[in-house]
Amino acid sequence: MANYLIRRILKALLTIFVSATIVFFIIRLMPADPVTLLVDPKMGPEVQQAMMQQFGLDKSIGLQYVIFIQQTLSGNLGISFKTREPVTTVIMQKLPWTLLLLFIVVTLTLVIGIPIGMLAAKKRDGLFDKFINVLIVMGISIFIPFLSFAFLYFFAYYLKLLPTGGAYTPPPAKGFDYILDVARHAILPSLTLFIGNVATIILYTRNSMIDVLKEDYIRTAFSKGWNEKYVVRRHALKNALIPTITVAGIMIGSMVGGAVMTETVYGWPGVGRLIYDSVSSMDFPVLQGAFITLAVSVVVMNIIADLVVAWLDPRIKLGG
Amino acid sequence: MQNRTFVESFVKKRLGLFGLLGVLVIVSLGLLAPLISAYPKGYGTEILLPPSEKFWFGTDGLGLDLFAQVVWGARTSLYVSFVAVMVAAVIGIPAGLISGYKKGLLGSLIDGIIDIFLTLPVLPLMIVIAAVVGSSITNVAVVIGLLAWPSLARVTRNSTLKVSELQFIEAARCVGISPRMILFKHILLNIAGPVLVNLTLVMATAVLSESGLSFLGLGDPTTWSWGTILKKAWDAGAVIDTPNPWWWWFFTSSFIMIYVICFNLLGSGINDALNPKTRD
Amino acid sequence: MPMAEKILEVKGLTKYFDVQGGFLKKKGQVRAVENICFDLYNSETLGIVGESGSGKSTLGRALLKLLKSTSGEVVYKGKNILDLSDTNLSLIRRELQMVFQDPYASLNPRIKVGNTIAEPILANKMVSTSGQAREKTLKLLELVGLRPEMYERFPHEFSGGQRQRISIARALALEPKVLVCDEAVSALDVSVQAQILNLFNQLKNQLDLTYIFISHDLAVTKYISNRIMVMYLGEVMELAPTEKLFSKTFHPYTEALISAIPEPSTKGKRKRIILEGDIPSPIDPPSGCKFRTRCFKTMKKCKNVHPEMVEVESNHFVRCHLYDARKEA
Repeated sequence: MANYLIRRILKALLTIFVSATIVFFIIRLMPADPVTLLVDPKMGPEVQQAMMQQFGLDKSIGLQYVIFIQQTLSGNLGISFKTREPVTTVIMQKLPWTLLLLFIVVTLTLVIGIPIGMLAAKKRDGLFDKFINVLIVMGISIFIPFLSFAFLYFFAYYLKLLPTGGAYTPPPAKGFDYILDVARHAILPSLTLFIGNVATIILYTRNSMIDVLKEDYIRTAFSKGWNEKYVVRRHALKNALIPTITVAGIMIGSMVGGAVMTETVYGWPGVGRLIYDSVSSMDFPVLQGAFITLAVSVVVMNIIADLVVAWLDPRIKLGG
Repeated sequence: MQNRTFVESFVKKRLGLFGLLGVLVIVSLGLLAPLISAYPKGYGTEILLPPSEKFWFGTDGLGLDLFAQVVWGARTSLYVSFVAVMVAAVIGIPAGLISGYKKGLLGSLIDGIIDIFLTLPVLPLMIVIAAVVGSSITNVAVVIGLLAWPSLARVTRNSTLKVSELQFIEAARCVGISPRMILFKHILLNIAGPVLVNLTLVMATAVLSESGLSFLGLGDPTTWSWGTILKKAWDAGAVIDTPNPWWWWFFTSSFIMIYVICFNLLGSGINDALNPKTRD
Repeated sequence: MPMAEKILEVKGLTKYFDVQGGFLKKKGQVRAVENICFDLYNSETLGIVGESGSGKSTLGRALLKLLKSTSGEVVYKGKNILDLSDTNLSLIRRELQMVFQDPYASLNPRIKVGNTIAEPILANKMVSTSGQAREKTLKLLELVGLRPEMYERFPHEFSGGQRQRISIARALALEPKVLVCDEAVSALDVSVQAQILNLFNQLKNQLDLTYIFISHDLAVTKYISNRIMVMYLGEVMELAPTEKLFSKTFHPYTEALISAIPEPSTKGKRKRIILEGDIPSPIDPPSGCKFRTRCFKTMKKCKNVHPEMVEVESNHFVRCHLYDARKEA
């Protein structure tokens, strides 16, 4: 187990390192001048000079790379062009909102997706299963902005039930009212992202459940006359969950991509919306920092998923 | 004949056939765009008209015909998906073949790279790259392809691992066929099915990515693409403003969905027809 | 049999496979083939028999360098082919070819039969144009008893026996001198087996081929071979000309194998020797003589001392402590 954990963390660090490296080289090797991408020409000459030195932009590319990695590790991602604040400060204000959204969506997806997938597997090739299969194809074909537009049009414009955007009604209320207000604002973004992702979870739960139900030990359990519900819950579910959770971990990456579009449409003040805003204002340091932050979040959530799998799967513990 | 049974079982699956027809319709729309409608440009006087006999999909805030925009957008989407698929195939197929056939250090290295790329948040990375390289439609297509290859490589690798164990590969080595021919002829011919399925899926996700990037303002502002239309509609407040020109975003979005659904159906139709378990 | 010149010399050929250690298991080595030495003479058929797991197929692959050997030499035309770089190897390997066991798995299902045969001809630059390759392929099809119109067909349109003919044609396309046949008839029906064995004999005379015929079936091996090599757990137990091996069997293992051949009942006096237990794991073979755990003539010495190969009579080699006295003599 300890071995597994170490290997897993090494892989995570490598992934983060690769992401940072890709961003570094893209910005440096493109025809555009990295100095203009990373240091705002509108800053005063002294500030410019200080930034150049801090990131070693006047030095060789190899040295720049070493400095970049050092700075990234110490959490220094530069200064935002727009707000003149450190990028880390800007991102830290936004990150909790994205994490809140992702938390709601992942929970909903697993809590609703897994039972539906199991039911479809149990009634395999039945009417419900066929219906679910059609929904799955629709689900994996969802274009997030379209869904968002449709929801906004229907719930916000037509029914006037829910707010059109943002995470709360300014000025922010106090106490329980605030929570209620945020919850109202979170309904549409969560629902959008949930529908965009639940299909994959249903698909994997269904398929792995079908595989598991064919296994010898499950058939033995049935032939012993055990109660079906008990067999499915006690034996099959645990094994069927392993691929599902693994996929859930991998899905986080694409879920974050969907979050960028969801947050943009609904004006949800998270890292995704920040990315959109920095594209419009060409705020490269924030763009770069936001991507690295998202990469780190994805990797951390992947580790969590893998640990859950390791906890479910006895082979990993033994294999050490 | 093996090929005949493939076609037969593909035709039997109505959904796959439906996907194929949809794909053909969209492809002809894109190819024949210049014959179907004039390239939408400039200003019109008939602003924000709802769908009518003259303007099937209505007009936008500049008075331009939305049907023409959707048709010309199909051309862009097809171009982008095609270039992205080519880029992904040129990198992903050899990477998958080599990592599946050579089990040594090179194989595990490529596998590790695939693994890392599969966990990365792809859309944000595309945004960063597209923001830096500039938003020509070809740039965007290449970026999408560069980030779509890992899933193709994974599928290629897994199939290659199975096929390279078979005896005819050993036999080919024995009679002195070069490794390159073994990989790109003997193995590739036998894994064409799963690779083809994945290519159709790349076609589908490429359009989602391109539309997403254009929607976020990273598309080519000089070309009509479905994402650009949506961005213009969104920027003009066409979703929540009163009065509401819903047709501005509805038809375009529907076309994106139909395109993606058709390619996904085509992919799963091919997959079912190839899989002996689900063939009948 | 008049002894012809040596065409192939095998010296100390050894192949170990590394196995990954799982839970509660040490990392180990499968000792698939250990210290094999023999000479192959021009125009003979050497049969190699043994149970599954005896290492005979591994030996065949190691001979052709389809597997990388752990140590040893395979000398062909004065050169150790295991040392040759890939470019130098191709010239020589052309002359050492193999017919594989499974006629259903050894042909690429997506490539037309004719192209399967023509491809190696072109790849090895035996001819310069594809037209010539086609011509040569048609001749080969005829040679193995197939009709020319079969060129355009795919493997799944053929029966097992026909497929094996195609495999043979592919191997012959490179004009080999030595053909290793790895269980080449085991997967076929008995009547088809006979046809293919006859084809092997006919080709041998026509093309002056030398065969290494690997099989688990001693009856088939007896039918086709001039000499027979008996293997057990990666080692040679007995090596002798076919008639000698049957008329004057030395090794207890060979005795057991021969006794297991079904005989016409009129002659059926021979007592069948039944070996107890399964073949031991090649990861952890028995000490001393590898066969001792199942031998019905085992002695104290067998447990501690590994027996050496002894030439008990001219051209008749045995690895068994029963004949130690003859070595000293």
